[in-house]
Order: sequence, then structure tokens, then C-alpha cells
Amino acid sequence: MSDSKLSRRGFLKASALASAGIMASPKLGSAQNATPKGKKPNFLYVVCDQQNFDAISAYGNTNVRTPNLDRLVKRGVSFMESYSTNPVCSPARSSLFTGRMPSETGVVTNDRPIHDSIPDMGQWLRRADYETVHCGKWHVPDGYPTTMKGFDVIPVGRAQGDLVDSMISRQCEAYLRNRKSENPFLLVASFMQPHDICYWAIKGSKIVPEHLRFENISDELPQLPPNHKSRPKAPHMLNVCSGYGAFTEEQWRYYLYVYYRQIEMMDADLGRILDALDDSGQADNTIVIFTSDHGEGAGRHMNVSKWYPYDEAAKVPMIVSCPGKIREDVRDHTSLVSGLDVMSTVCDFAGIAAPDGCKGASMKPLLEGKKVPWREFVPVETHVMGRTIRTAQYKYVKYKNDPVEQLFDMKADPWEMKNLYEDSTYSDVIKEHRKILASWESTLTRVKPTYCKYPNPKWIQDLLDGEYGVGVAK
Amino acid sequence: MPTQLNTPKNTITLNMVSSLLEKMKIPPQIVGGDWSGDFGIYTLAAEVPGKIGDIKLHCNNLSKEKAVLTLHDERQILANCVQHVKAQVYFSNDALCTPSQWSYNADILDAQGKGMENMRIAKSASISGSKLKVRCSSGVRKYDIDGGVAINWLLFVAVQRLEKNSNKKYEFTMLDHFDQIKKNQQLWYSQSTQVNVGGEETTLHAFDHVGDGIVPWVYWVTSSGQLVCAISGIEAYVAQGSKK
Repeated sequence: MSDSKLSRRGFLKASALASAGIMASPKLGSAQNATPKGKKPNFLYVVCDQQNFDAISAYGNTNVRTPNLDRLVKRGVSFMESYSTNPVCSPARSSLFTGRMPSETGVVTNDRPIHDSIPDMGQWLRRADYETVHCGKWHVPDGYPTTMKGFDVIPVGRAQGDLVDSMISRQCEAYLRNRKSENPFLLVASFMQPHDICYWAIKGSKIVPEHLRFENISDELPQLPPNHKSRPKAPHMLNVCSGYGAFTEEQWRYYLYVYYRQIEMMDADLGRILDALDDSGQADNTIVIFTSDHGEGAGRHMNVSKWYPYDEAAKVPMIVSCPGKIREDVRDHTSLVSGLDVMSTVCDFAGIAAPDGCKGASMKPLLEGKKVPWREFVPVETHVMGRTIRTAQYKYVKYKNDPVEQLFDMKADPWEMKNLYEDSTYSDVIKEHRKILASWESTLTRVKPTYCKYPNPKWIQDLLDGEYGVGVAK
Repeated sequence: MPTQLNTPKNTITLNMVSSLLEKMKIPPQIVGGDWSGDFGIYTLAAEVPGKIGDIKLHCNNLSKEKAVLTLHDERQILANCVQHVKAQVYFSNDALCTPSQWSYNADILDAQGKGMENMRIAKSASISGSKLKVRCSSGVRKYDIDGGVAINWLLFVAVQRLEKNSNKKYEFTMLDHFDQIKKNQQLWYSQSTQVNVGGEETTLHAFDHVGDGIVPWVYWVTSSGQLVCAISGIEAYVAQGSKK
């Protein structure tokens, strides 16, 4: 693998070529300058919270039954190598709606707003005459805002799980069934589930019994993943802030059982919206995008929750469908895609330029089955202390203030059980990945972190103070 | 037959609403007759249960075999609005209160009670054997359903009538929130325990419920059948009062 193949130029090449039609427009950075041909498509953008990339029954996961996600899989393209830009809610969401890395949006931790200089997807598409509507979780910074700069807001409650998701699906259904506007729409349905699983970790034995209460499901409890007890060599912060040893094996399996039921709850809510879209007569002109902000530990590496670079947290589902416009029942196992790419893809389908500085690449040619050069790595900002580069074969992680790095051979070791960092055989690979990372980082237009609604934990604030100066990043 | 107290397998879900139970006065009720029940809707994410709305259920017996349930579900949402669902369900007076037809309207109401434009959903459905037909403004959708059918809100009624200390396990398909079809549901009596309800040690009996698309539910009823609370993970419905 040569440096030139893995350079910043390599990353950007795909974006430029894939967006060739857009690039031909006279002024970049102006949504109004679009010259769309024909009827503009609608967008139904469904974002869930904390879903593992492989927690879909159509992918062969027998622990979960997701008939509605399976519908999407069957009618669209599934990207099997899709990564969050940062496996933490607010940072990831800032990228999903801007096409910029979290260090560029200023949303480096939870509860921060997107920097004022960067338009979100709603603002951008509204300038191109789209009706832009948001329902559900936002979290940059408010969890459930009542007003937004780029979207009309359908109000829902503040609660967790089914208490709020059933409202979200019902109100999105109402929107799709009742809308009268001739303008194209962007509807964001942003579900809370399966994020509720966080409470099973936070509350521990207060909610996960020491002995299984529901004997009837003992045969249905998922088996533990093969890397459950694997703790490859990791930086200090990863060891102290991640990994969960309080559960017995049965508790872990019950935890997984609950997690998969929460995904099924979200799937039922997705079904309501897909039915309404089908019934509305708009399905053939609506691009449906499904993804998650980040994944969930799910007992892999003894992990719960997210924020760390392992695939259970950083890898996410990404499914895009539209009958007649996008290939059906395709699983793309080779293209590395990112939460960065949604903005570019939406703009490409809408026939408008992506905002200046957008770091994503349009997935449109891939969705249409066109052969195009594609990027050779995806970057992941691992919360505030780490940076990850995932190439076709390897995942490389560098942490701030810690000499331990991580390198995994994702082909030979997809469960990330063996850190190859200290194996001299891989010293050239590590050097190459360091270069890729440095080159990538040099392309970023960083801003100081935007204000935070709530105080950060001390260990996070210390890191921010160290990087940006004391008092800057409160 | 006097109630046999099991050794509690665990009561952790009940513990999560203990602060509410301690203040509760169990209202009088005649199980099997016309019945009204008000339940507070709580999120249990924080240490202290947070109330987000109310659900009011009213059952009228139409005959020995048939009854009708009227439901009002009001949940606080942002911008001083509420999501209001009004529903009516006709059902059989059998073990699971098997529904035969239902209809509902769902609206977002502002602080003055005015419905938000274009936010109304009106649906109705009929269930005959294994066939479910759901109608809305855009047409009819038809579904095949395996085995018995229940609606989640009707289970609030059913568990008040089911036999306690029984080994019987009910298997069914659930229409969650009326229109979400969730398969492979199981409901059974699991245990009894004594807890502080309104300052008095009270025997409560649990029916456990698991299945696709739900976090396991536990319905806690008194020895005479009143539903005191229903808990699913960090979601709870706790009786606010009921009357004959």
C-alpha cells in the first residue's frame, strides 16, 4: 500500500469525481444555484440512536426480528462498512447533518450546538425550496428543541424509548399522510431507541436481575459475542472508562435480549412511517436513508454504551433505498462510507451543490451501481481523546497523551481481539496509517468547541483544556 | 382459596415505582363488571419516576360476552402541547379480551386544546379470525395474524381477570398501540409478593409478558384483581385511582 494511494488526495478524489455533476455548477456553496433536472426527490431520513451495524435480521442476525429494516434492506443498498464520525451522540449527529467532522462543527462532546458558520441539512435544503421537517431527537445541543434554524419542528415528548418513539412515528405518519405542499420534502424521523439500553448499564443490578426473572425466555437469550472477554492492549483511558465487569454471564445475555427488543420497538415505529410513505404515493420519489448516530457495546470487549473506537461503537448501519432510482437488495461490503456522506448524497440527489467545506462523498453513484473511484479510508474521531483511521484492511487508533496505539487487521480479526501495534511485522503499516491520519487531520478546518449546555466530566474537561486552553471549551 | 405467596424471584421492577406505591390508595373495584381506571404514565430513567401523562380506560359490558373499551391517552410534549389519542375497542370477554374492532384518532393539541394542522391520524380496524384490516384515509391494509390477538391496552383489563397461581401460558400476537403487529407474545402468572402500598403491607401478584418488540412487561394486580401498575423496563403505568 503506497502513500499516494492513501493520501488526502485519495480521500478527496472520490468525493470530487462522485460529485462531478455538482462540481460543474457555477458557484459552489450556493444551494440556490442548483439546476435540477426533473422532479426533485423527497428525502425520508431516519436516524436511530445506538444501533449496532449488524442488528438487523436480514443480515443474518437471528437474535433480532426486524421486518421493517428488512424491507429497506430488500429495496435498497446496505453499506456493510459504514462508520460514525464519532461514536458519541451529539458529535456524530453534527456530522450526519452537516457533512463535517465534529472537530469542524465544534460539537466535540455532547450537548453542544453546531457552529454558526456551518449550515445544517435543513437550512441548506430549505434554500433549495425543500419543505424541511424534523421530528424526534436532535441533541445539538437540545435533545428535543421546539424551534430549529433549518427545520419546522413536529413537537414530541422528552421521555425515553417507546414513550417518545411511538409519538414520533405517529406524527411522522400524520405528516406523510396529510401533507398538501407541492414542494419536495426532507422529513427527519429521529428515534430514541435503542438508546434506552444505556439505562440497563447505568442502573445495573437495579434493573438487570441477578437471576433471570423470565424463565420462558431462557432459550432465547442471545449467546455472548466471541470477543466478549477480549481486552486487547489499549490506552489507559480506554481501560478505565470502558469495559463493564459487573454482570454475570446470564445478566449479560439478558442485557442483550433487552437490547434486541428495543431495536424491534424502533423497527415497529419505522414500519409505521414506511407504510405511510407507501400509502402516500410518494415512495417512488423518496430517497429513504436509515442510519444510527453510533453503535452499542453489546458485550463486545465487555463493553456497554459507546465512545470508544471498536466496531461495536463506531460502526453503524447505513441503508439507502428508493424504488427505481437505487439498486435493490444490494450489500456493499467494500465501500467505506461515513456519516459525513449523507449531506453530500442528499445534495447530489437533490441536484444542488453541497456546502463549502463539506468533507463527505456522495454515495449516489454507488447506489446507482456506477463504477467510481472511492475513498480508501474513513476517519473516526474517538470522542475527545482519540483518532481512528479505517482502511480496507486495517483499523488504526491514536490517542492523545498515551503511547499505546492500536492496530487491528479487520480482515483476519474482525472482532478486534489482537492489537498488532507491538508486532514489528506491522511497523510499516503503522507508519503508513500515521501518515494518513496526519494528512487527513491537516485538511480539517477546526473551530473552537462550541458552548456546552452541561458541565463535562472532569476527565473530558481536562483533555479539552489541554487542547484548547483552560476556560475555552466549557 | 387463600393466596399462596411464592418466594419472589425478584421484584426489581416493582422497586422502581415503590415511591409511588407507598403513597397510593388502592381504589375499590368490582372485577368483571363495568370499570374505569386512570393510570399515570411514568418514565423511570431517573431515580425519581417522572410523570409524562395519563391514560384513562373505561370498560362497558355490552353483554355477557362482549364489551367496549374507551381510551383517552394524553402525553405532555414540548411547546405546551399534548399528544391526545382517543380510541374505542370492541372486544370479547375472554381471557385476553380479544378485540374485534377498534378505531382511534390521534392529535397534537395546543395549550388551548386546538388540534395542530395536518397532525391528525384517524384509523379503524376489524379483526376476523386471522384477518386484520386497518383503514385510514389512504386506504386499507390487510394482514394475516397467527393465533390469538390482543391489544396492549386491553391487557390492562385482561390481567385483572386472569387466574392467579395458574400455570397457564397465553400465546398471542399483539397489536401494540393498536397498529403495530408484534408476534410471539407470551403472558403468564409468575409470582406474588408483599409490598407497601399506601402504608399497608399488600399482596401483589405478577403477570409476566414477553415477546417480539417489547421490553418484558410485569403487570402487578391485587388479590382481588385491581391493576396497580404495569412496568416495562423504564416505562411504567401506575394506578391513579379507579372506581366502580
